[in-house]
Amino acid sequence: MEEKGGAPEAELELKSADAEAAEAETEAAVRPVKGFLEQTWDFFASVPVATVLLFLIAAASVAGTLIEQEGQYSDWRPPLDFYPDRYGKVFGMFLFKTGMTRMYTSWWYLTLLFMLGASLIICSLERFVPLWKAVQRPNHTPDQNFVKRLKNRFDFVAADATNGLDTLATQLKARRYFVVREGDRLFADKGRWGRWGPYITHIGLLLVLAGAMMRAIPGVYMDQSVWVRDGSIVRVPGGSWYVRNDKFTAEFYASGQPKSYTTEAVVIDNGQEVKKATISMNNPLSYRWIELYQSSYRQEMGKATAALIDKTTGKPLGTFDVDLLNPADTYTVAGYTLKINQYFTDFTMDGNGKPANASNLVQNPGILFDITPPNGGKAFSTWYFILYPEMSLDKDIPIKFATTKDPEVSSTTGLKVKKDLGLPVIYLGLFIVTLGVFATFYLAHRRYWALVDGGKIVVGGWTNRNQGGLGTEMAILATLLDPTTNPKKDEMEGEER
Amino acid sequence: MSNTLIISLSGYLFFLVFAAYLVSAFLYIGRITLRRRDAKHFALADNLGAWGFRLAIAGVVFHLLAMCVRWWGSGHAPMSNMFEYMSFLGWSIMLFFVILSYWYKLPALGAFVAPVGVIVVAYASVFPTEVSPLVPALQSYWLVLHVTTAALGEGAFAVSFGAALMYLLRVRKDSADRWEESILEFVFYCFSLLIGFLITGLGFKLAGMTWDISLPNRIMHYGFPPVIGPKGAVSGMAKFAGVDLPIFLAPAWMQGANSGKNLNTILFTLVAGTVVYLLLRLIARNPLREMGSRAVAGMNINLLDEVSYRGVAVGFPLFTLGAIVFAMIWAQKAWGSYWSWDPKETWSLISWLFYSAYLHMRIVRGWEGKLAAWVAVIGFPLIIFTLLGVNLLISGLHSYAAG
Repeated sequence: MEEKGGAPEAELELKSADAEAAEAETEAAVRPVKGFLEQTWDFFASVPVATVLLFLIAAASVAGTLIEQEGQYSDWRPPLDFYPDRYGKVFGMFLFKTGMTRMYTSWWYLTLLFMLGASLIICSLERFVPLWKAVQRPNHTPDQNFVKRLKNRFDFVAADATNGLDTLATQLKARRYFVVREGDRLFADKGRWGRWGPYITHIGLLLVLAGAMMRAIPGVYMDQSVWVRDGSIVRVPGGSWYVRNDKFTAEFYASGQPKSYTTEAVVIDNGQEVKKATISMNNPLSYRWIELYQSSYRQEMGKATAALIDKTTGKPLGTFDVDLLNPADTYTVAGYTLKINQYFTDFTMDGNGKPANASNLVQNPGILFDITPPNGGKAFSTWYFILYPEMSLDKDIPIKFATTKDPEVSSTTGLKVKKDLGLPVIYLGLFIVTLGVFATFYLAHRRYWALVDGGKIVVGGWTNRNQGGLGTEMAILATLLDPTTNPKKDEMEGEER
Repeated sequence: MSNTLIISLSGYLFFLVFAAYLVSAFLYIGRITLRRRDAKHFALADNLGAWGFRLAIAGVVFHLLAMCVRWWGSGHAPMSNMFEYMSFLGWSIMLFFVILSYWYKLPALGAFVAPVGVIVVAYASVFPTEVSPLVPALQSYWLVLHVTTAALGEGAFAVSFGAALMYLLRVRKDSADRWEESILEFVFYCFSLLIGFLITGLGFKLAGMTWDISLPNRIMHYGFPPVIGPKGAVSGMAKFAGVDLPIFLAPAWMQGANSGKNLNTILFTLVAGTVVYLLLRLIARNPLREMGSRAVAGMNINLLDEVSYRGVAVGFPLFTLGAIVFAMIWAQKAWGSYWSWDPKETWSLISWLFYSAYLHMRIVRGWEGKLAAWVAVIGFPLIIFTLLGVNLLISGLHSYAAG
């Protein structure tokens, strides 16, 4: 009984008011043969096409989160080795070849995004002029039947027509309506911004897309990283200035979870200290359009104290400090001269049994010393492993090493160096999108038309959203203006309506 | 007061709130059942509805209080783990339910939306409720802004989901499409699965029952009796009701370390959920969609359509602000990149695109009505997947939110 049949009535009202805007695509379908350009235009101007594009992009994005993407999977192997193993030989290669493994940069995903952009622009252009006319240049005195056929309507009896319209105008003005009087006609509206909301949103979205695309322009975008050891100065990639790390600190909760990572940083430009800041997660350092983010860290070994021990007596001959990050060429202890022959910061044996570095970090230092004893003794060479001083490989030498003070911890902070001149455009776009969506859904465009018909005044109302709100407002107005014709009704429960 | 005392106080408040929501949901269901019986029960039914409404409001107020107390006790906003997110989502669902059912004078909404709120709050308490310290990435006021606005939008979407379901039940005819009928019944089956999972899961949790399976490299903690064990487990490693467990092992082709545990949870959910479904069907003596249809019979179709649209219309700007705008600004500040195609980001975008499509559908003739209502119904599982599924099933930058 209450089928959807009631709805078109509301649409009829919309059509008569904003006929052109609502009819754009129906009209387009009726027109005869068209050129390719015109057809393309019509295609992108269609709301159904925009809707389908939105669904398609959503579906494609789902696939991108289900298939592990290149650069995001947690495996050290290159894609050509990883994918066949992860998804099977045939299917894995199929995913890789079709670009499903780099979904968001694949040509067809970008094509969909580009089509959505085209739809945003063309839909907005197509509807802008008709909507401008309908919203900003409304017909103040439409056909009498139009008003009388509006679904939201009430009549009130007024002794004098002009007086009656004046009272209505006062009431509407008090409700922040913009009121126009033309003879025995009245027009009022408010919330015009609500109608522009969707267009504002679309402009904001286009700005966000434009800001993201600005990356393609040389010099706009940079994503690098830099490692700065405690106390050292490094030139910032892409900049003419330097950053010094005074101290990196990592703090942990009792449970072992990280609590904070901070870098005490100093910006040095033209030899001057120009800025001091503490970089931590959520607190980047910003200087000359470049931002430094706390992104990583590593800890190495700094200064250690070693002792030279006489093998026969077991007594220490003397001690010396070694800066493992930056060792001296020679050390002299109790008459012995120790010259560094080879230094491996992270000692290991390579496949051929030869000493090598496992990494370029100071994590397991091993030094091969050429040692000249005092008083013209016979020179010899031996290894000193700071972490494992007991590992004395040479039996027939008079001395051995001991590490009397374990190496200090030296931290290196990992900073992400980021430049993105598109950011202001993106932020502006996001701001406009926010304004747009709130205007669209939180502002209703309401309009009233009133005319004198015999001894009574007919008031018709229209709104683009929240019909219930308009109904309530009109009921209040009706009772206020003429309590006898329009007595106050009890509010009914929605279920019985 | 010591912090632990304050936090346990908030725990009691959460329990009270859950009880209020639960009773409120039952009152609303009772109301709608009575109304469909006989006109002479109307007065009693309306009384139940009024009390359901009062309890829901009390629940919302005390829930807010409970969250504030937890904030006070823990020293940081209660938005940092799954229990806290889900609890806030539950609050936001109940908040928008109270607002929209009041606006539209539609207490019948309570029989469909309040249970969703109850399920979400109950689901929250399946996760560990301990206060966890904030990791560096979360130490920002954006945490509160991002999570609250996004979850508020999601709460409004939940109301839209309930109203759209009512709409579909209302317009459904006996001659309706068989597929549509099956999917509608499947929605009720999914509800039963959730209830089955919650009753058994919370039951074992409240009884203090857990099972450990020690593997050479790690110990697996089970919240359900481990009928399906992880790879490498041996029967007899655990016991339940005198039976040696596990009986089965996770199949070899499954890769994840947790696949045995997840399969086991799915098994229990399916069994318990099916039992719940059959019980409900036994009570209804009809397919559940039939029972639902009878509950909404005679309701104003346009009003149901309007409420389900309004839920999205109110929620969409909030969701845009929280899940897209604030999220991008925060991501830029914390990670130095406003968009990284992290699964959580991508899923927020998917939900956002999906609801945008819904809003556009509403202005295309022939796509509004039933088709749009189905989209509003499907939207809510998408939101839940964005919130939960991504963290539990797909890892990524938001992994600190798991558990």
